Amino acid sequence: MTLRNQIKDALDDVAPPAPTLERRVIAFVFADKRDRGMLLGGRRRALSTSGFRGMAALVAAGLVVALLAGIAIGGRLGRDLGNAESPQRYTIDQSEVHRLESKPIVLPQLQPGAACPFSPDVDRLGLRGSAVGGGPVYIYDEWFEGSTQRGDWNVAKLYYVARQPGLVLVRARDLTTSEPFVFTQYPNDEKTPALAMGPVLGTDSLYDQNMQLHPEAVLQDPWHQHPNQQLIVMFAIPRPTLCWGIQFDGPGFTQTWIDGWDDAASKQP
Amino acid sequence: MASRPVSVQAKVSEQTFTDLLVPLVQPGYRLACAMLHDPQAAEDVVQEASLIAWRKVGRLADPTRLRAWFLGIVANECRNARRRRWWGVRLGLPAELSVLSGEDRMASRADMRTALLRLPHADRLVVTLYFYLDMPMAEIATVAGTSVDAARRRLYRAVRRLRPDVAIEEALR
Repeated sequence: MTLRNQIKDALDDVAPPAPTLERRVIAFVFADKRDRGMLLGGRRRALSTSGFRGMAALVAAGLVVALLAGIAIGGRLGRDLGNAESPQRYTIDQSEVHRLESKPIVLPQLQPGAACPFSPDVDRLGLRGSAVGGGPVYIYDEWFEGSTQRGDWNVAKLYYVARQPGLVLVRARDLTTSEPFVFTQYPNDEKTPALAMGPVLGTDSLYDQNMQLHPEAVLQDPWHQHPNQQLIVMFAIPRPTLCWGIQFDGPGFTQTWIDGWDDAASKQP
Repeated sequence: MASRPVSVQAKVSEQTFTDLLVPLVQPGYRLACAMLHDPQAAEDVVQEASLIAWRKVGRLADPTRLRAWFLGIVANECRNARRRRWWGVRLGLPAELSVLSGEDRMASRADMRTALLRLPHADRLVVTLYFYLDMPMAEIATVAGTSVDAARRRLYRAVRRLRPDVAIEEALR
């Protein structure tokens, strides 16, 4: 089977027939502005229905009022606004970080051209909704976020089954050149207790978002111990890296994960 | 002094634009599906791209490049859709949408989709245009906003990532 046919087969699965799309597109283009929102397809149409919108606005307004009242009554508004980036949640025990940083890198170093020693479950990653990896850190999903001059920004969604309290340090590197990867804070940081850490090594910009570059990431304690807590780390894979490793150092364990760009092909028998 | 090419804007009525756009909707939709792996998001992208095309059709100096111009808008909107995803839900194919035609075949297709999703946006774009929409390199370069040589280099690099064990010439068939 040719690569062309493989790609067509794979992509046909995600392109179901849309026989009335032409008609809907034309109606959308020539609709007046007010009607256009109602003609949007997909999830945005669902979100734009007036009933939902009205109810959501009402609930949101109520929550905002309640939140502001609570903060103002407590007299903490000014202090909290001034410390928006450093609430208790982001307090990290730096001595613990330094202790974890002192752990040696155990990722293999490859000769140029050597086959990438993928982690055993890498082919299951993100395909069937299963978390992979040897634990206690599990990788649930990984995706490409975008490219910059710095490299290709990848995002990994992790779960951590904590056996004892403590931080988890995350480091990553090219296994051939040993070049360390840089991390940045995933923008939805309120949803993830994973923090890019260490000195600022520079900046980058992706989709008009300025990002600070750090040499590592830390999974915070104790938020990461919540059973359903997502931990999202974002790192740049410099080109032309083909095989890389991630090392997790936590309380009483060191764990590695090895992945690469060529996984789909290189795993063929 | 070269004469300025006649633009299509002034002459384009709603009916003319409709006639021009309709044959491009399905290619645009297939491109967006291939880039986003999300049919609903792809439909949104095609609608937005069509609206942009209607507003900007006057900037199209050469009507013969309409398809490449429109697909370029679709590709850009796909990039914006990924950007919206940055702050919202993740676009992506739920595994259960895969066509069930044998477990191995399904896994192979899913593997290919995963490999395609891991390509950088620009590389995935040229792969999609070349392999999925069967477009020639010159037109691919126009859509991607690059030179033909640059588009070809991107394609080769992407093919090497997808099939490092196969000769480029063979993989490009």
